[in-house]
Amino acid sequence: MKNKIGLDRVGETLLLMGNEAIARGALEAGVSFCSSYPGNPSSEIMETLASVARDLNIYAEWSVNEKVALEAATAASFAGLRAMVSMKQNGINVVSDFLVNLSLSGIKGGIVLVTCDDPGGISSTNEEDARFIAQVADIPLLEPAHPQDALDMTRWAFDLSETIGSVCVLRSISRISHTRGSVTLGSLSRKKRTAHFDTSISLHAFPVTEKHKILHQKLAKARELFETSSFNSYEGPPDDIDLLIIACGTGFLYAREALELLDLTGRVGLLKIGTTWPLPEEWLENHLSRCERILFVEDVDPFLERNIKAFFAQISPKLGVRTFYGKGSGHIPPFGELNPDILVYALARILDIDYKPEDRDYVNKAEALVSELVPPREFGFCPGCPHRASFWSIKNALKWDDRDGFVSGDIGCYTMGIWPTGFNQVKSVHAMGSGVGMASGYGKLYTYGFNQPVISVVGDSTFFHAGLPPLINAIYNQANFLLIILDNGATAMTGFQPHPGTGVNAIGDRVQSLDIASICRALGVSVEVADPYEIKDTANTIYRLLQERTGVRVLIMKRKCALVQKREEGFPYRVRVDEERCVGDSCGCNRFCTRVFRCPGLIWDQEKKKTRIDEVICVGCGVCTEICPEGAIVREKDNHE
Amino acid sequence: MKGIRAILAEVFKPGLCVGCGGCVGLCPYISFYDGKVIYTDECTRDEGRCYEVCPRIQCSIGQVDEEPIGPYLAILRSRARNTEIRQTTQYGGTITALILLALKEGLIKKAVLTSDDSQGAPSGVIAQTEEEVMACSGSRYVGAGSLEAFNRAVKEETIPCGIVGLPCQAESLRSMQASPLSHPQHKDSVTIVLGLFCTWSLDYRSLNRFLKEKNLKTPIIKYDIPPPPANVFQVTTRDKETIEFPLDDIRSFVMPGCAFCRDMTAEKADLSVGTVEGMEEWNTLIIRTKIGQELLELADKKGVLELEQLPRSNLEHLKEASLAKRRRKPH
Repeated sequence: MKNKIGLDRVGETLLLMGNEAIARGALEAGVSFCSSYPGNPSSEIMETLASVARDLNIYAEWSVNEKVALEAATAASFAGLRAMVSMKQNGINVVSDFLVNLSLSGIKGGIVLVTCDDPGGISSTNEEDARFIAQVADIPLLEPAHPQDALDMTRWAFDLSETIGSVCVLRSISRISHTRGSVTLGSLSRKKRTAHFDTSISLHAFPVTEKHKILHQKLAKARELFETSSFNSYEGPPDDIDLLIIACGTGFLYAREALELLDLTGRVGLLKIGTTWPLPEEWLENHLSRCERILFVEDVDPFLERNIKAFFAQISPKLGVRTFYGKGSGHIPPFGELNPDILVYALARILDIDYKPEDRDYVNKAEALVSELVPPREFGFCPGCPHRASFWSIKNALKWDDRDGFVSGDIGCYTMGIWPTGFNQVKSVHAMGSGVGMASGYGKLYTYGFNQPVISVVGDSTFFHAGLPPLINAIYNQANFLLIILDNGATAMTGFQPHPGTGVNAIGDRVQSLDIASICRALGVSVEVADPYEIKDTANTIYRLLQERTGVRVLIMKRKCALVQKREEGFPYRVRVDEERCVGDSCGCNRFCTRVFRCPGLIWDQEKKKTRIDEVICVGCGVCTEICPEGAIVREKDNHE
Repeated sequence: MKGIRAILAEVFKPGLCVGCGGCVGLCPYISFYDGKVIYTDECTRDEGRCYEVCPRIQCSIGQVDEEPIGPYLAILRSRARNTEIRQTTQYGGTITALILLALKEGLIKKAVLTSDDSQGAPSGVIAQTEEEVMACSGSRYVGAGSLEAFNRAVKEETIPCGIVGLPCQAESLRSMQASPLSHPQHKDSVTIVLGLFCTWSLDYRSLNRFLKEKNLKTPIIKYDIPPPPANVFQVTTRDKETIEFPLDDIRSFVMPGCAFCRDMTAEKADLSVGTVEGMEEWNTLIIRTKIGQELLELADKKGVLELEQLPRSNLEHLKEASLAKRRRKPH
């Protein structure tokens, strides 16, 4: 067994990441079919399942996108198997069209849909709260607060899903998915399931109103089960409390911490709710009667807060007036990630406690010390990253072109092209494939005087995910732009997961590789292939393609992700700086390599006023030797490896 | 002293760059690409050679109306004795003959000329052989950035160069020689400056787009505005086909920066060369410096050039034309 997660050791306690706990929960529930599209903070769920798939005889796939992942998983469900689909919050938008119809048709085998939200947008283009989907699709929602919860809830979610015949959503967040905690294992399911589609029935949304009615009956059943769920609990004094906190997710742990810090455990009650939609109304009513002041604690949107307030509107004739605190009252910000500090301040404000954090002097000293040890770092491409070289050529070609051209960006490592590491070339970034769709629109604006050249950049994995439909749209509608496909042979941003172009599948089998150039050529557009590292030739090629002012032109910039290259074969060069030749910050250079090109492998030596190579991180791609105006950066064949 | 930010504000942004190339090839921030000087990356220096050499900033010409064609020692008409040169080149072939002589006699090691790159865009060329020099003959009427070639050629060491350029390029070279920021190898490499008369230059990209729209695909080997009455723009393709366009059709391609230029006769050159109205076989030749005079004496001694007095009426006409350029108002 490659991964301890697949071991059948009941009662053993392991230190597991939240995402591993979710994977384990699925295995304990007897999942047969797992599909996913990578995206932080969800990716390790699928990676964990894929690592044990062969041994445990389950099916695991990286799907082309989240919607297809759920569709494929649904097939397994319709054939009687249990299936799990995992994704980051953005993926929920992608699956939503299918899901709102699937909830009407109902399912057979249990389906658990895991969304890992990213409060604070630590590695996302947004901090969307994906819980909305439970209400849009009228399906139940569970929210773990820690890794053990994550395992137990996932396992139970399959039962719930099968019992009521609906997809069940499990919402994790970065701090649960990526937190490691003690998790006690249950037993792996021994139930053997055989896949078969029962042709005596058909599964669809018609008649719509009737199916919608049934869906609400399913929700009512879920509510009934939630009323007694062990995922909901109360801790604190049995009566006479000054405040009741209602928390879900890691908010529960933050609340606990804040209460201990302020020594409030004797005055404030803490209600943990794990079954957040539909609300366990009777259970809630009992607890709402404890106190007249209520504080909601949850990450991102006031989802619980609004739903409980709405519910309370129904029961207020019975219970009387309540004061609600949270995002609505301004005590908790409705954006950004929660932390215990936020709760400490909120509690101090509500309960009129004179709270003094560490004195300012101490904080200043600590900050000074930390900033010495940890220098500020900007988002940046890795040393040797082909994207840096690609954006270098794109920048030069657009400058040479001199028509105020720009780049319509997309989702991947190359999103960082909005920052100096990509020479600020990318002017807009939204969703997977949207850069191509937007370029398709720009490419039709010439009748309104639009004469700026537009380059759309899209990665290989994103191309397969959502880049094809907008490309087809552009070709069909005769839009005019240059599509640059940055093909680094991996879904690099999320951890090198394979995709249809890589020739490998989720469990490591060799499979047919889909050739992006052939696909584009089959669509009837001209396709050229360039090497990002050949910055002079490639920039000339881009410039030439920009001068062709009709239709979609495709340029594939092909070069393996530097991290993969380093791991697999290494780089051929050792790079050094000839200090005699380096002119530093004088006229004629002005630190061109360290100030403009900015590969982290190049360091400005303040004392010598010369560039030097950081040999620890320089991979030896040799691109900077082409940048130096003085020929002072020298590459030599590396014979050391 | 100022740097790139000043040039950006004073020259590039208002569109006054005429593509002389004086600032190109000194650093990685400015390049000459497809017939245009382009600033690609942000330089933060407060002073730079780019500013020092820009002829749209450092300009001292045309203040004295009594000297409408600038200071000179003598003015003649000239032509190459070698008829092969005359046939290959435009008008009298004086420049080609002088450059070949200077190379042959070892006065210069390299000649900085203008030709076309592989894509047909104008570019500076470093010529050393007769063949290379002959390949560059003919006028282009576009900003050719050819000083870039000079800057690159002498980056490492002093090489005696003969530079053929427009008035703005002669101006740029002299500013470079006078600047305390310039490197000695650049200053010392300027050996002979041969200036060309110029009323304006065209923006290459605009002209190229225009010619493409007219379906002229083969490379153009020769451009001309034959006088009089100088109202036709003539292009000759490699297939020896000559096509004429009304001059008015291409006038909008004249670079805006040329409107500020007060120098028709390359007043900062050692020798200035242009046409002679009504005499297609001849050049007007203005001797301005001792260096120019010595080269001409050598040319005379070696029998390379035919030299005659420039008819008085032609001189008067030249002065009128030059004054007209000085008085031209930017449009």
